[in-house]
Amino acid sequence: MIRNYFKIAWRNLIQSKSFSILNIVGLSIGMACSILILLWVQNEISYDKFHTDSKKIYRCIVGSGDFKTATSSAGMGPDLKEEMSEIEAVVRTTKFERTLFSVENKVFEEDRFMYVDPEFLSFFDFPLLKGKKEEVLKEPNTIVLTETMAKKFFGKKNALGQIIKFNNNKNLKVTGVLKDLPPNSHFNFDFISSTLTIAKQNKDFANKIWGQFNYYSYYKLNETVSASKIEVAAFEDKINRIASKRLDSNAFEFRLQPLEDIHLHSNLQLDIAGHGSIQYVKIFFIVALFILVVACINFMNLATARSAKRGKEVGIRKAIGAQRRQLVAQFLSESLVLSLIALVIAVGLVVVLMPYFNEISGKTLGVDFTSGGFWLSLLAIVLVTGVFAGSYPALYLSGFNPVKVLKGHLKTSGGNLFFRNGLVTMQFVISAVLIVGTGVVYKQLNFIKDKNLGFNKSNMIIVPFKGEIFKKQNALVTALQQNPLLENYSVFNNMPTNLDTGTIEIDWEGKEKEDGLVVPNLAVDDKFIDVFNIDVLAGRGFSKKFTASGKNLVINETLMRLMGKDLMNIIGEPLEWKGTKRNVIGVVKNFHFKPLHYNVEPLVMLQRNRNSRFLAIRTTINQTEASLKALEHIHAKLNPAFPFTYSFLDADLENLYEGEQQMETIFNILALLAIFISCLGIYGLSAFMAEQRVKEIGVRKVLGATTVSLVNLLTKDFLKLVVLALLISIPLSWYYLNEWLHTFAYRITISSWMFVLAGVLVLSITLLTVSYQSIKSAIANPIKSLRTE
Amino acid sequence: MILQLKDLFKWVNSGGQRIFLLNDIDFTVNEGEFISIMGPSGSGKTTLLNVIGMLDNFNEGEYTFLEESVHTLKEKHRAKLYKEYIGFVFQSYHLIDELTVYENIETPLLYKNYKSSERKAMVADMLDRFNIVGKKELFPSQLSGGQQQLVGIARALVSNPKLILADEPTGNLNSTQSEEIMELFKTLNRQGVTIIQVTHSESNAAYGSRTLHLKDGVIVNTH
Repeated sequence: MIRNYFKIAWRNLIQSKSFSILNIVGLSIGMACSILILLWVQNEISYDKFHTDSKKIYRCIVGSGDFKTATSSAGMGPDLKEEMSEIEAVVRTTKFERTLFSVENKVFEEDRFMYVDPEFLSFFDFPLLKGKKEEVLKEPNTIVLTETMAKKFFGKKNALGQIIKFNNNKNLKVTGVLKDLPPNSHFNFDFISSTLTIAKQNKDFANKIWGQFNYYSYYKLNETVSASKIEVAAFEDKINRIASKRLDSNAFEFRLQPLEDIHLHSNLQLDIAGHGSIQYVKIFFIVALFILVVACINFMNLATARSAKRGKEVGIRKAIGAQRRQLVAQFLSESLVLSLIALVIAVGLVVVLMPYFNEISGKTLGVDFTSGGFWLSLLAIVLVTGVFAGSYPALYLSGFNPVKVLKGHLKTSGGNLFFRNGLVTMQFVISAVLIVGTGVVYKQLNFIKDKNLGFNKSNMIIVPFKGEIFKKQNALVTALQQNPLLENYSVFNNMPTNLDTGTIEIDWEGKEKEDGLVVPNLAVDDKFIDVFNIDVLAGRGFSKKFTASGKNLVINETLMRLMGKDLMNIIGEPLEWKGTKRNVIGVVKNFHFKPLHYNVEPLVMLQRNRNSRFLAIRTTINQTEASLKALEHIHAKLNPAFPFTYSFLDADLENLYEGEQQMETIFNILALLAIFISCLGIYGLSAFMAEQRVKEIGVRKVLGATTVSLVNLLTKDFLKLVVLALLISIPLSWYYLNEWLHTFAYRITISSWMFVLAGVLVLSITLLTVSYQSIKSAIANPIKSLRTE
Repeated sequence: MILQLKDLFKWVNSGGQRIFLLNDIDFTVNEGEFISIMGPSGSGKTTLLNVIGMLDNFNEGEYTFLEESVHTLKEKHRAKLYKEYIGFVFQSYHLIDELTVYENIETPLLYKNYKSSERKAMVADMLDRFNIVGKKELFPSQLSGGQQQLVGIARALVSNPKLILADEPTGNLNSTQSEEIMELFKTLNRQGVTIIQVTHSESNAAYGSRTLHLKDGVIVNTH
């Protein structure tokens, strides 16, 4: 019986080729999309779960008012562990440092280096290929690197025991080689060295400082605490009580963030880069599901539209003894065969498209054909798609009354038509929402790109300091001053694009105590404000005649307002900064020193001619080449060991929104596919409609109907549905897109023209799709269609 | 007695009026009979046949089929009954286009859950009997009308029904093909199959043992 079902199913597919092709193309694209997105989603939600103790591990984070960071101090973790039995283990890591490694004569500049506590590899599960996890970081001046880096540095040689020169000033011994980190780890280091290496010269570590939040720390809590949210909250309170006593301040709030939440649920400043967002996971998951639904709707629509043809068969089968459930089984097996074929093609597509998808999404996903779970989920996709898509046609077709269909009295019942129209409307709604979405995302990202940040970002070369430059700042400045190409330079300590500083040690007359205000700061030279073209609203910027004590501050408008002053009375106001009294000498117009997700926070700028970390040079388009050459020349003289690297400020700014850009690309592709699949379905449907009405069209034509009126007749029904769908899609897209826009502090407002544009697009796409069939049947010779009767 | 209709009415309501499709039908069929139903278009012949075949319902009256009173049976039970004992032959053959001759004949057996080996034997038997072994792999579109109707009859007979209902079985055939089919019915009838046919042609009706004349849903005479 089953074999018979499948045989018939197969023959039906072969017979109605256009129907099958439309469906299989739609379904396989839908499935391929869903599989890719599901693999991505699975990867996103699997972050950091591979650690044995992942459920017991928490990251200690600190916030002050609205300023919440992922960091914590060097001293707090170890001290707390000694005091509190709830903490089983603590490890700390530093932030990434850009580092120069030399091996023999080769020089490598690497970004992903950090110091970790010796217990790091026992605390987390990063398997070592060489070395024992308890021993590799036990000594100072040891380094552990990943397999890929070991290959890059040492080729086929055994990396173990090799010496790597670190920033040209110290030798590190390779004590272990790590297996490459799994792609679903929020850590993405290539090198780790023991914190013992810096235990002496780093004051935060040496003195176990509690109040400097420049590190990351992870606590492993015991079973009783980590098992319950209430216990964790109580434990957080306990930590906060200890900390506020120790820091003698209530300004800070410490929290424990579950390790598994870091990747998707973290919205903290100063976090390790490369975070996902649960919002995107949800959006993509839903969109992928929608695409599959759209493809299923095609099947339902086309299958029911074909009911006139299948009706006769149903009648015969019933007359010769088929029961309804047998017919249902037959039709379901047809849709299952179809979805199975589609799946095979989809898997092929996934394999072929995977590299491109990885490129777009910035992931390293792969299909694991040996995993039972993968096959099981494929099976689930086939079953769900097949049954979902096939159920309605099966129930509908098997319900025909044999006497009526054999007599040829098959009329499309109102219910069926309603259902089918409902499905088509739903497809259009999905397409319209996606089109509006594409438009809004595009506008918002352009808005960000073009937003006036308050400083001039064009033609600006940025050179991060490294190696000997730190010690030769005066020589650098002198060299720059001598070259007219480079005279528009500025040196400063932090990038004004994504500022990662902040202190609560600020005070002025009338300031509330312990209000949790964190003020970022920027230490700059006298030229910074000019070179970046930042507007000075009151007072003045820094001057050349600078005394080392530097008691002068420039602040931004936000801080001025917080201080309760205005442009008329702010100049000369005293402001206490890190314990010393200083004076405000100028106010600058607000500029964006953080990504546009954040509002402009208060800012303090101080003048300092030492300890800079970046150099910025303003050039003109014509002089960029020459300026870079001149810079390289200076660099080669002052800092010969290090390769010369630079970037352009506008490119750096765009990189800040890499996640959003990826999301835009994926979203655009998904939207395009959803629309394409919908069109396939509508095309098929219009073909069947035209076929069904061929006699009516013939009669009308004989009676004198014009081609235009006939095309109009055939397209009208679809257009009504499109208009209805557009009306439904407006509130839906408005709501969901606003939700997304609210992740930006600076955003566009959704305006009505976006809906109009989407409407016009959907309407014209539909018209184009439907008109081919309509025109074809409208210009056909009526004699042909009428002769058959 | 194979079936009996008693005081049977079937009607539709149209514009407040009750239009009778079948009007007070009293009618008994005995085993081994070959009955022809005649009458002008719209007289209710096909409706009567469909009622007998349990494909259609009626509004009033009694219908007894092999000792079971059909009007009191549930849909499911009724389907079982006609599946078991009745075979249908249609004017336009109604073969399934996607299936071969062999598979068309086999289909009723599938729905009756015969085993594969049994099905093979029964279908082979039919193909033999109708001399269409050589055509078993062909699809309906590759056959002439007469041949298609032959397959239709073979399909109706394959599960050994007690009663064959034929709705103008020769309506789409030329006279030679018609004669062949009617001869076939006659032979089948001699072999013990009860047959009820609807026909327009006097000559076809003559093959039967009894003719029923219908007009406006009423049996006007029997002979």
